[in-house]
Amino acid sequence: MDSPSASKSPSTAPCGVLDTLLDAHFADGALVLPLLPAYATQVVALCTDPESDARSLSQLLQRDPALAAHVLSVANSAALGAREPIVSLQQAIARLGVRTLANVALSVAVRTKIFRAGRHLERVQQLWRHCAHTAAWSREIARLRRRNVESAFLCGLLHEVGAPVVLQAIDELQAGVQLGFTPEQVEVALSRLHCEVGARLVEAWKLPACSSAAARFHHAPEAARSSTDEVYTVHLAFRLARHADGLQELGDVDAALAALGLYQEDLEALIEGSGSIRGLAALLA
Amino acid sequence: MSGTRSCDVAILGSGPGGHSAAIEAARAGARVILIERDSRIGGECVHRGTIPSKTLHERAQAILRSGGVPAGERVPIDALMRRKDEVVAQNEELVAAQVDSAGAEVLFGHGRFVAPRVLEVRSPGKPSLRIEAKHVVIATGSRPRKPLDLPIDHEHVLDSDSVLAMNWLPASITVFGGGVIASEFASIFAALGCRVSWIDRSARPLGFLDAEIVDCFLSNFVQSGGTWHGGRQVASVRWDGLSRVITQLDDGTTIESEQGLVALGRVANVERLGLAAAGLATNARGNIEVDAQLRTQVDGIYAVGDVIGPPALAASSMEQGRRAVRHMLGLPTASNVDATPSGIYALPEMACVGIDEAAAKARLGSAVVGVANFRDLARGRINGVRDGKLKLVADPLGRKLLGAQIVGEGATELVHVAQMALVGGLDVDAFVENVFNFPTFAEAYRSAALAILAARPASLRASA
Repeated sequence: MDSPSASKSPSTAPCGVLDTLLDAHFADGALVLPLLPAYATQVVALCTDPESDARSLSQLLQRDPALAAHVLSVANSAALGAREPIVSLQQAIARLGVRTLANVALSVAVRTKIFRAGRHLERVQQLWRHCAHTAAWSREIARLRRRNVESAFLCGLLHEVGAPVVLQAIDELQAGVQLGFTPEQVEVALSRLHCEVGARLVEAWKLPACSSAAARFHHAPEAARSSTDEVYTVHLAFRLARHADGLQELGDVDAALAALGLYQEDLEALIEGSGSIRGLAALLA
Repeated sequence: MSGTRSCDVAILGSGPGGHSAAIEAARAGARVILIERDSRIGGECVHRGTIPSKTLHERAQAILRSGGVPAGERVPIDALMRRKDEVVAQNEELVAAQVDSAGAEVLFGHGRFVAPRVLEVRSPGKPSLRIEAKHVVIATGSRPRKPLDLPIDHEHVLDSDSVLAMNWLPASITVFGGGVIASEFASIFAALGCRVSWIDRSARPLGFLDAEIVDCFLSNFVQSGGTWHGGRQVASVRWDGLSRVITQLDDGTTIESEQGLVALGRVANVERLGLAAAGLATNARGNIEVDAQLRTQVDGIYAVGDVIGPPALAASSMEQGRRAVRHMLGLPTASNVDATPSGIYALPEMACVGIDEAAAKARLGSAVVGVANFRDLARGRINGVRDGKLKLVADPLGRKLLGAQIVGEGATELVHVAQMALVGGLDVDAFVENVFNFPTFAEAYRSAALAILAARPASLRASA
């Protein structure tokens, strides 16, 4: 997670209050994944412009974790009569067709709650960029290992999907109790909850099990008991993305390399061949 | 370098050849170190080759037996893949238990030669280890070949490894290649209800097999809805950036599919072995040369399995591993009868042993052939088989069995009857004079043998 940028409130809540409020908030299963305003605007523009290229919508889906999660959830719903589970964005495009998918995306953009926690907006935008980078690295790791590239990509894209849910909840709670939370309190709460909340959301929306495992365990892959391949892939991709963005030293990734059957020379080959990822970074900057 | 270990036999790679060598050597009392580069034991065979693809084959066969995929329905690939993963995990455990019980030590890491019979093993986060061995077996296997002109991205255009990680079944797929792996996947996907376009530059796939057998297989493939584009060159393959793989053939044909699968051979895993440090090199095909005893040109170093080239079958690799170890330890080995069967786990299955009709005629001038059709067998009618046949090839006198070729349900099991007959040097008459269970597909042997007896030269028929 990046460092927090939330501002202090004049009346700061006592230690522990935020944790208690959040635990109560999430205990009733209320998980709302908001769309970022800019992405929602882009979706509406793309889906209502008869001249727009279908590939643009496909590319937008692959950059926005919240939109991707919403679209996959709708694609799997009974309303669309899916005869098989939709487990990847590529499959969604193949099965539903671009026209239907555009309608789904438009419906999602219009109906879904927009991220209103303005003080955290920049933070989530950074996170979304990081998710897109992590997804791209996950894809390259899977490609190198000749594993499922689409699945690795989706796991990377959705691994932080819990963060805006938590931040939005904090913002709403803050308004409700008329108390301020310090950036440190927000950061601690976010660190504590974003993995579990993200995983629960993915499970509740019946998205692929490997993406809930990646959301839950990407910081502690050794704790995963299933989908370990995807979890370690996202963990390594997460580290590579942070390193490439200059946010963190790559550090010790030996455990991830060992779990994935990779070696130092494979890692070097990955980094050397990461031109397309750098291109994506430039695009998203 | 943290330390040096010594052993009698060091083995690079834990696939069929490697683990078979490890078990044989350890059971003979040798100190064995088995080095595996991957994080799991078993090699390509267990994880990305024989075991997973054959598991998919069995599930697809079960679907066919139950009447095929109803129009408009889709096979739940997640259930197929879950079953595949379970079987892979069970086989990994089995191999690990066998190696452990034999007393071989397993090291996970990348092993490479630093001198003849001296290896360095590196693992992420661990100090490297030097291993000095009296004998070394190279059994590092192979990986799918990646032709430069085909854009394999493991996302839209897959290879035979990444296809096994598929988590949704495409409605259409284009398969490139005319060998065993392409045949297996093309027919399995067709059975699963995919629209399969299968392309190869040869007029007929599986050029090493009897043409009659291959034609029967192709006919089944077409009846399953597949399209065979034989004798065509691929001009280009590209992903349209949205939802289609577009393939252009040299005759102007355009084929669109949701995914592509390239199965155009395999290459040996030898690049990172430091072969030069051992005094070894590869041949023009990228394989390690060995003699009949699986010895390389360097004393004490053997090579087995896919790294030495054809037949590159799991079964033959296991036998090579066993024979290499017995030779290096001075243990007796039975004479090598050329009766290793080949099995193709397509739908329907194909199998062969010995030589086929064309080879027999080329070698002996003529041959007597007997064919039995499965649909003429009671068991064939009970099972509702669409097609299938067993072909026996005998010498020009119609007496000595030279080979058998089979296409149809159970072919890969059925072939072992012929294999044992070849090993035992039995005449064709043995299939007539002995009783098989009824009703079984094995009865095809009797039918084919009777056809040979009937086709024998007249002078021999009276004495038969």
